[in-house]
Amino acid sequence: MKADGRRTVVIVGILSLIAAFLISLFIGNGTVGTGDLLQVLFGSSYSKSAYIILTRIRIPRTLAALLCGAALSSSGLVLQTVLDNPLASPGIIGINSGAGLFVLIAGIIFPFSAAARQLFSFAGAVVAVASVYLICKIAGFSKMTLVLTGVAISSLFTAGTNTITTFYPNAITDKAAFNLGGLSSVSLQGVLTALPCIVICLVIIFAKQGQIELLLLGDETASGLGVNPEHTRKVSLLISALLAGSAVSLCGLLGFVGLIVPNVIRRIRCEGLLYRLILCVIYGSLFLIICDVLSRLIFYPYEIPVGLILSALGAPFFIWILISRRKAVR
Amino acid sequence: MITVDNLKVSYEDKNVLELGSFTFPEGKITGVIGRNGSGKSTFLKAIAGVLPYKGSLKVGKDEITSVPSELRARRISYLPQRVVSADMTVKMLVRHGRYPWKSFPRRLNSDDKRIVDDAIARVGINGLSSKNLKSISGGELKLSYLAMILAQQTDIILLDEPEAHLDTEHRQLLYNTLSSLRDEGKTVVFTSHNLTESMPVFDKVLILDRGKDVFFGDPEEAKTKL
Repeated sequence: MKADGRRTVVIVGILSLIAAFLISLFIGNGTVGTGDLLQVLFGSSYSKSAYIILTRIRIPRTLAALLCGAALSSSGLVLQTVLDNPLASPGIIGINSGAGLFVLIAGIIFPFSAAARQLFSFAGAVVAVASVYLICKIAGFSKMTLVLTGVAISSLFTAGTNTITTFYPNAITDKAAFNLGGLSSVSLQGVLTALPCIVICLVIIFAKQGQIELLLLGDETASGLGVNPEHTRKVSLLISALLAGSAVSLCGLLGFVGLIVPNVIRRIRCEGLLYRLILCVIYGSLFLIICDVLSRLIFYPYEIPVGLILSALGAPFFIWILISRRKAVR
Repeated sequence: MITVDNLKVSYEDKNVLELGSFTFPEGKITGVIGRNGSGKSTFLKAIAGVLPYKGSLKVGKDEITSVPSELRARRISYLPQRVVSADMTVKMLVRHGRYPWKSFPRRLNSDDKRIVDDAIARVGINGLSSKNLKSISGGELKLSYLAMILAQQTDIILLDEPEAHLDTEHRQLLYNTLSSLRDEGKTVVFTSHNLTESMPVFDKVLILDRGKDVFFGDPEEAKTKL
């Protein structure tokens, strides 16, 4: 893709993101109309209920969708690059379920602490990615081993999650929204807790993208170009886990964002990890905000967890990747 | 100049390479030859800093392991035996050759772009620039990686069986390129199985057998040892 085309894709993405962000602020059930909400933003007098809905519900959930979309998409892209596997994503290789289990444990021990959820989520994500990495290293790295190990680890953590929710049904406020991934119960405090981590992790990933991209050339070539492949791989996996962990602590087990967005971006013939990362941040955020808006509109005035929409899109997408990979091999 | 002194490389507590003492001269082409499993690739990996070793292996006055990896990549470039067909264009691959010379955010300036274009032209792959590595042949892939090595602009160039997958025409192009690099003062070390064609290019020859050096000297004398 030429420079003009690349610039256009970025500009279109940013404009769409701004539009989606604003639309997300004004759509949803409730007795407050768009006019009331506009009054809060631009008028001098407004109703208290409109103010509360905008500042405590709509803005936090839209910001959460923006942050989680960027975090999960970037995490997925880095995992796919580092592990050289288009099927790798935080959901597929068990990072989400590891973080989810630990968030539930935090919910039992520290029921009112967003910071504890965040920390436990990090720990769970790191435990999951470290387990998958070590098992693959022992069993021998292959694309299939990675996915199967991820499935096994994911099942193990999911079993733990189900056990906890059986014995401690109040460990998490909205069990369905957490398991499927949802943005309806996001708080501004939660957003502000996750924000610094996501931003710092994204900065690190952008700073290290040159080294990460060289891993695609194989460890020996990367070494010859001055990169320590093992160290770069470990740091990248850790940062990917932290990004996904932050998203889980905020929105529950959101699946498929880290699979769908990076794979679509890889297929639009845009080259270079830096550019792909920029697109993942923009379009990942856009994708999740759109899905969240749809989750509020499809059965309006009822709302469904955004994870249901992601699963409905993600499962066929996963199958499509498998089929297209097989065709490519042929 | 590369100086080897009692070099040992081990794998799972077993010595797979044990070499004596010799020096590869600066600005010359040295061929490393031997049967499969004789330790040629292992030796090149040790010089490239990919494998740990015992003993001494110096580039100029510096022990290789004491040079930080990014600085080492400015002095030594390395083409491994197996190259990966990653999801990127040939040009993007060659641009990666400039990586060791750039600090964050590693944007290439006009000089870097000229070096990249020159490297691509030098190995005769201009027509492949926009092609994906996954869509080109094994020989073209090897040439693309060779262009990346050239873009790295190091004084020492290590090539592990660069002739593999190349047809006669491209092998000749490779030998001509290596000869011109020598004329520019570069030190080239490469392993080869194709002795009939590569021997005339060598200034020095190192023969390895079962992980040991059995000969180091002039090519004419080396022929009598084979």
